[in-house]
Amino acid sequence: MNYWSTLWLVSVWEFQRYFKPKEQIISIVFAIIGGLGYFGFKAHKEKQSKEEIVLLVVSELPRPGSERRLGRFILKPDEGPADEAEKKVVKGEAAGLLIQKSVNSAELRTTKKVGWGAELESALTRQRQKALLSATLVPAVVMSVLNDPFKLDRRVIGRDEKSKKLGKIEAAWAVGFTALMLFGVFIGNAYLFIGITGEKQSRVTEQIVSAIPAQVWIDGKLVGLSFLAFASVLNLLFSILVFFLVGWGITGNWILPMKIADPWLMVRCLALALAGFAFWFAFFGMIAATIDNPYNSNRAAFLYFPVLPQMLAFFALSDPDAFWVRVVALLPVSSTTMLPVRQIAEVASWWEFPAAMLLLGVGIWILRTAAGRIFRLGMLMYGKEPGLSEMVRWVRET
Amino acid sequence: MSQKPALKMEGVFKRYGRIPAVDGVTFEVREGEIFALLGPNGAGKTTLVRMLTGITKPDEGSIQFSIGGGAAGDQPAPGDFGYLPEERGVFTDIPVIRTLEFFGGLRGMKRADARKEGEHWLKRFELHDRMGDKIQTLSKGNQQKVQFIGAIIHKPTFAILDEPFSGLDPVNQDMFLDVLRELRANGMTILLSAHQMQLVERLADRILLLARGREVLSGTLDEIQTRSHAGSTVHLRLGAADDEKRLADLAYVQDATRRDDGSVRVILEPGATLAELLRFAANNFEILDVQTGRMSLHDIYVRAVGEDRAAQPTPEAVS
Repeated sequence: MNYWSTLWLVSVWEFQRYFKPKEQIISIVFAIIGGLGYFGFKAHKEKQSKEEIVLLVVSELPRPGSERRLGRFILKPDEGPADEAEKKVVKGEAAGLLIQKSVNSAELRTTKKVGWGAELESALTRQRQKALLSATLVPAVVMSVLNDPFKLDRRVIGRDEKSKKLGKIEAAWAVGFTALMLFGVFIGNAYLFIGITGEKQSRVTEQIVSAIPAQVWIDGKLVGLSFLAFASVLNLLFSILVFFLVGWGITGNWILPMKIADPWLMVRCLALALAGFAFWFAFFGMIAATIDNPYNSNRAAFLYFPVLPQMLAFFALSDPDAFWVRVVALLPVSSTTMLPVRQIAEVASWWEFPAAMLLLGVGIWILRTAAGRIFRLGMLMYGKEPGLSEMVRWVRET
Repeated sequence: MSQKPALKMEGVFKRYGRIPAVDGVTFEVREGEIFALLGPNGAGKTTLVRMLTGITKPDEGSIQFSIGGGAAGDQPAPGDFGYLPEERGVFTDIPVIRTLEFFGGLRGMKRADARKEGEHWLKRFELHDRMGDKIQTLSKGNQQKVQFIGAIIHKPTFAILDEPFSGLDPVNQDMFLDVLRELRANGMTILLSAHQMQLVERLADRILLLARGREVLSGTLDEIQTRSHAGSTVHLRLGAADDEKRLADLAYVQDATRRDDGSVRVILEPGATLAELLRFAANNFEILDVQTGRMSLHDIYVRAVGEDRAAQPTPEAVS
């Protein structure tokens, strides 16, 4: 067997070992149930919010008004007295009784607590404002201008023309991408830790390394788990899509922002994600090979390393073309999350993607070589963990 | 059995820090034989096995395999070599047959061939109805069977089996003995390490006894018994009042100890005759029963390891 056929065998084994189609289907089923629950409830609330509400109005003012409509509220004057009107409300002839005390106050009586109280208060306030303004004889044109917000265009000067802040939709996509990356990295790391440390403890590793080189074994793990993380992310994306499809089916509105529809951008982002998984898994493979017991090793803290570039990505959202963003978007530890932000903002130059991929490739190569060497010797250590100097020596010597 | 060596280990040293784990060991394993590696804990067996499997390298000395028809080299081709680690070296969360397919694949087998061979061996070990079960649901002994199948599924010409009888009941131990004999008959060379002396005695063609990383005894059982001056063993059942200590004082008696069943086990010096002992016993004790035999491998092992320990200077003596 040559390197590539063995790599394929191990990669498929590692992928199939942890990829559970049943779990993937369950997550889609959950998305459907969640979508039905969320959008069904939302549609119900929206339907409720559009229903007309009839209120009887008993006025204590000298000149009671006529029947009028405020938004969805229909105010029907009632001659009273209030006790008689209240009986009508109890009988269900109206949703409530509004006793108008003055031009500034009223009392609302209902048979149960209602959710539209604040809405009614707001409608009455607007109606009072309108009445007061009408009384001042302000022209209609002036009235409409009074209600419009001031228009302020913001522009950064003295910077590249391309420099811009991400819009809401682009920012949502960038945040979503970094979150998915983090999800994939954590999923893969969990399997990597369980796999490498568990196999080391059960000595299954010895049986395998007696058959194939340690480097192929670790390479196969990295490839298999990278595709596993990738598949998990795709499944999560699919589940999210299903969730919104259910919403579309119920409400008739497509609310997922689809402004980012450039397929080449998607391909670049996915390629960066896959390479990013391989990079982080090579790093964690190296760490896991040195861990004796995953439950009490303080090296498990390395699991949280990928959170740092994710945090940087959030800072980059406000200015994706800042100098520091341009630099970290090329570094292998951060390019997988930072470069997509720049690409989505359309501020990245054409050469940044191939440059970042090249640097990632070099980083993966160095880390997987170190991981293979450390793994080969680390798997023989039981009861203690090698120090940093020992690991450096292994990498140099082997 | 051929006299051609399948494995030659010459002057092999391996140290961990200043501690020698393997200290100048030389031996050879011949084609088609079962070679047993014995030794107490810390004797260097695991280190030696790891060097043979290529997991670690010796500091000094050479290891040469001449198997599979290829040129001699320090590592055999994966398909020619099988290895059963001492502990449960299996993926416990994977079904039995899938594990065997994977192990076969690692040794160069096609998946379908590995499955067919795996099914054959599972039938042989009466595990055929469990082939779809996860390994963690099997008993310790059955897990050992799966691990064993994984080590020989690809029909290697040379197999290293570290504690193959671990976790097996007597019935399954006998089944393993039969299988190992069958594999040997089919031309497989086997190097095994085990603690079950009575099984090694029944199975091994030749034996190497290690202690503190060094060879203590080696050869066939007969050769070892001769070299270790293992005299005849006599089990005497004596009258209740008789004192076995008088036997131990005799010049031609190596050892005389009372066993839990009440009998006295007497080991004669090489060359001593049974008649001498029986004459003395008849004149001095009431003899109820007599059984004779040769010193067992267990006794030789315990005595050799004990002598080796005694021969080592204590830290006080060194200082």
